[in-house]
Amino acid sequence: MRFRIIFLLFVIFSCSKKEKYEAIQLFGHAGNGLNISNSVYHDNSENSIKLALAQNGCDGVEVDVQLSKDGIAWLFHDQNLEKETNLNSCINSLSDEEIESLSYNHFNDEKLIKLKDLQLKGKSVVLDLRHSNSCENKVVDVNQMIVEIELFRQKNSESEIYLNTNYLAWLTPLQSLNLKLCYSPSENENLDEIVNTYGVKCFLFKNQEITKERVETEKNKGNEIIIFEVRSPKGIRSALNKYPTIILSDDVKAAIVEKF
Amino acid sequence: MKLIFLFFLALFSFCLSAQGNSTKKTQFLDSNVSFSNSLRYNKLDFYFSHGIQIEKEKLKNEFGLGFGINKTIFQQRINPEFYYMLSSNFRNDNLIDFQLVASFHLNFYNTNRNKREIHFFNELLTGFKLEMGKKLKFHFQAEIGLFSESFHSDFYSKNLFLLDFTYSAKMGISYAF
Repeated sequence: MRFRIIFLLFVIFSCSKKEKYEAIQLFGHAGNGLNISNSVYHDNSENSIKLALAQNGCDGVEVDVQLSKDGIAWLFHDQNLEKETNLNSCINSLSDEEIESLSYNHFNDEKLIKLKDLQLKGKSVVLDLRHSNSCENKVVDVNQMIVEIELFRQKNSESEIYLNTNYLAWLTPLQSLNLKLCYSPSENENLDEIVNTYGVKCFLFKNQEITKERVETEKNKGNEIIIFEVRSPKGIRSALNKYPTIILSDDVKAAIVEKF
Repeated sequence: MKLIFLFFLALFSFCLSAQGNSTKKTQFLDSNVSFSNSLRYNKLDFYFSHGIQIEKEKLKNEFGLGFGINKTIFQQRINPEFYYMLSSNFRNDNLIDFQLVASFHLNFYNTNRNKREIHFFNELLTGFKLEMGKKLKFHFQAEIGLFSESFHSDFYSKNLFLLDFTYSAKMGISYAF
């Protein structure tokens, strides 16, 4: 009898009500998650993005944007292609034709996709803009990036688009797009100075690098806070309890379960 | 606290098995019957389950019911699992029993507490199983196979079906009556 009571308590405990997180938006990191062992699809692939957007409760996706040698924006996370495609090169050093011939090292043999082919159908997106061509040690042309983002915006006019960069020199030119502009600060960087100088009101932080108090302080100043590197259920709970604006989760389903 | 709940739940099931020991018949329609408790790991979660195994000649049919530990306890979302397993004795020297196994698992959970948004997960697996012991047996099982997930997407207004490869490792104990 005692064990049955414990079992009943267990069931009741399972049904206990959670805190309210309605105001927090959940986005899939690099589609449906970055470096997830149980992921059906590769990060930043078309199927991965579609799967994240398909899940009820997922408000959008974050994707990584890099320009090819021909100036077309492609979605790819790493600086070098070798680990994911076996080709030792960078997106910025290859032509579109060369990138089109590549596939991810994944059993689904997925292709890399262009930013302009991304269909959000009203859901939101964070475009993580990569400024560096590490193969040639050069900075990518921001004006060409702006052209590509404009093209993407025209095709996804109903979606809210956040732009993110960790390169201060890009903040001023990117403001011409009049989209939500975010910045990934390095450690000990003064956010107030960035807000005052560049008018940026959105910042990205790793979950372990920001406290609940800091999120609250920044939100009180009118800044939006996006938290990433949120993977395990424990990490997701910790991120939710900081009440940021957006969480970029590597496990979208687990994040939905925790939020709702 | 959650681990304590899990411990008591496991204890509860052991007690049920022990209780059954004194009341159940040793044979059921000319078959050997045994009960098992096991812990299984796959790409989704750890599952704790109870099973009943009916052995007739070289074939063993096992039906079981369990739950996903992380989902149910740590994420507070009830995640039941049902399975059916068919195994055949490949080698039996009375102490160590080597079996070929095929199994089907179904589990599901609701991702949203406020409305019905159920994700269904199916696994079709095959592999091997090692059993050690006579009446009280310890078993280990390793399998690979196909995994599917299905759910209704409001965004695309249709049911989605995903297929992938998967793996499973299971260990547990069983008692033959």
